[in-house]
Amino acid sequence: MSNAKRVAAVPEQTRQKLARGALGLACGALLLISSPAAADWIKITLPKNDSQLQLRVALETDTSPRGALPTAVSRDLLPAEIGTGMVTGAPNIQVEMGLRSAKKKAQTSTTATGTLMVQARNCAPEIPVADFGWLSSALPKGPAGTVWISSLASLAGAAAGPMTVASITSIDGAEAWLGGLLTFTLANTTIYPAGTFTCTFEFTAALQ
Amino acid sequence: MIRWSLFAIALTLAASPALAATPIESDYFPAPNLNLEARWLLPNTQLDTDPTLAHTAIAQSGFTELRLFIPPEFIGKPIRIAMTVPTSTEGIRAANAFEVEWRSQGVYLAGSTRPGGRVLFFEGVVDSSPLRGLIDYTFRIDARAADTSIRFEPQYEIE
Repeated sequence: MSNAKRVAAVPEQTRQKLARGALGLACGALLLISSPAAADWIKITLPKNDSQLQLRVALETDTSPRGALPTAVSRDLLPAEIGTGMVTGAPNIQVEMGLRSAKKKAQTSTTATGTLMVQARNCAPEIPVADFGWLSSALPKGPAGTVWISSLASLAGAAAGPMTVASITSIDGAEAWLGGLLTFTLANTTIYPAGTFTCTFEFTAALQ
Repeated sequence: MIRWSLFAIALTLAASPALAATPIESDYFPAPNLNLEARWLLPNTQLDTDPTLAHTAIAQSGFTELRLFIPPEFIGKPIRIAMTVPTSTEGIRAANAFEVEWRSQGVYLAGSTRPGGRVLFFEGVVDSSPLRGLIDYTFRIDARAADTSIRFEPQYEIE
């Protein structure tokens, strides 16, 4: 191209030397043509990619629960019922834990584990924590694939500190759910003194 | 005689069309480089969501001016400009994890390609440099084979 034009303008005596040189120049020009020109670029940043965990505790009747709300369950025992066997409290409560790990990135898989725990707090000494339990059934509007909380005959394990209820795992950003519609139960196998007694069961969720 | 044939060989090599591609400079206007934040195509995914869709992130630039600087010897002549996306795009680990698609307002040709791709971007006569046109990019990225930050740096050349 432009190299060839320059060679043609040169005087005759030096044409032989330059002709060989021209071959070298043409080969050199091949290398020059293939290198890229200055160009501006676009930088693209991928969206944030964190694990997420959420816990909802609400009355069964709450159609749009937000967060873990204090809920009250109660049962009045008639004199004739005392000591006659398991009784249930009302209303039912819904417990739901949702988990999403970070999305897989740069060919590295991600995992997150969510653990639901329960702990008895401020329980009146007249009724042992071990006498409490729950029956669990499916949440009417649980997301597809929800792992159901198992029924628990006794909450004795929750007396001294947080007790693990269940764990679920999320891989590469797929949602995982754990939940249940819980009916609290009282063993009612002994004679309780008269009075009103309360025991608080606190649900917590932990993310790893 | 020997001198003459060497000279002829040099001319032939130089005129071959495959070697005649001229890289040209480019920039975006007004900002020379763009910074885009991608978003997830599907922010909330279920257990049964297709993994490719679940990990697809989309970034859009909106219409921005792209200027191509045409060397004087090509002004006033019919030319074709090709755009190449380098095979080794920084931040992308697999060619099929990245796709760029663009719309055009003006002289450039719309299209789409992936790393390693080369497409016709402009065809016609340029009266003055720089050649200007508006481009709106949409990037689709599979995060499973991408780093947090990706650098898209296409090359333009006159064929």
